[in-house]
Amino acid sequence: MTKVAQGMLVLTCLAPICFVQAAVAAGRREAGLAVALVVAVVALVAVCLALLWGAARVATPVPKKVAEPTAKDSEPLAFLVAYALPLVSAKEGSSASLLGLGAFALVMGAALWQLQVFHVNPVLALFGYKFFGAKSEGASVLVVSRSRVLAAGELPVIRLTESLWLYCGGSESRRAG
Amino acid sequence: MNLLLAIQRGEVVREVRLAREAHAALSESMGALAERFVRREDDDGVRMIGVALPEFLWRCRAALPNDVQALTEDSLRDQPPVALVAIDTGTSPRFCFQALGGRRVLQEGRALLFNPRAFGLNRRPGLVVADRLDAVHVEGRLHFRSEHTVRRFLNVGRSGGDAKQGIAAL
Repeated sequence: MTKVAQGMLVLTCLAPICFVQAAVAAGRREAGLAVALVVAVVALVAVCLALLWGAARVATPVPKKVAEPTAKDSEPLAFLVAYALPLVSAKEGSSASLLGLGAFALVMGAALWQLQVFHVNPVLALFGYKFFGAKSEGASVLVVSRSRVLAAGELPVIRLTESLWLYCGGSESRRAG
Repeated sequence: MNLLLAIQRGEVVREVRLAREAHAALSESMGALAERFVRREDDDGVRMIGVALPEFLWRCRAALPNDVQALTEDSLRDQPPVALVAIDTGTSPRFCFQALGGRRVLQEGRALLFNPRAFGLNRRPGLVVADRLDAVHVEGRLHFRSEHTVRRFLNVGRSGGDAKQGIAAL
């Protein structure tokens, strides 16, 4: 996955925040801002899904050793609560400007990129993807999977980045969940 | 085939990352070639010895190790691979080897590729995949035609005597 694609994936983490901000803007009768944010949300969600679909369609999975997979269920929720909830409770004029939201998105995107914490992405969770933290030959990796359960072993994965892998297991493993 | 690796001099392997279509096509052809090779259907002097693969290859039998780098344009240019190895990973792994000579490594601008209207020079380096295998290692046995060819990419014994003893033992 190219750096641009990685950047887009990071940006998609911010879609729910934009959605909350859109709802807040609609509540304040700021129709233009609300519509713009909803369009941004739809675009980000589409980009996110297209990136994963494209990676799975173009790249070939390779077997990689994965040990100690543990689900990272709570992280998207924590991310939402930490960054979207303050927007709802913000007073009018304090954080409703598009400029402020843009600056916030920029800083958040940079931080998420730097930390490579793609698992805080609530959009992927919404579409049935689960994140698992795991070890591979001593290195920490993050595995994105449609399966509810991920067993340790040699798994077919597509490497989206060095530490972010997309699990491409068969239907048996999906049924197992 | 789950993995395609390029063997470079000095017992270095690099991952040959394939697009999905190329992977499907190569998997099919490599599988068919390996079956014919091991069954000796062509019967053109395939021999067999019991031998363990060197560790730099054997450690790839189940999964791709994290320290194996991808074969890039630069690495292809700077250190052309001496062989390709297609691996069916698993509990009974199969390694299919193809030796790569200088003529099967395409440098940019050295090959004419036909595009829909006329031939054009290749702008990027590439590899030519042969329609034959030079060796197959499966179930602890190495099937091969020419020891000389195998020695270009695999150190399977310190002397010719080792191979002969292996053949005699089998």
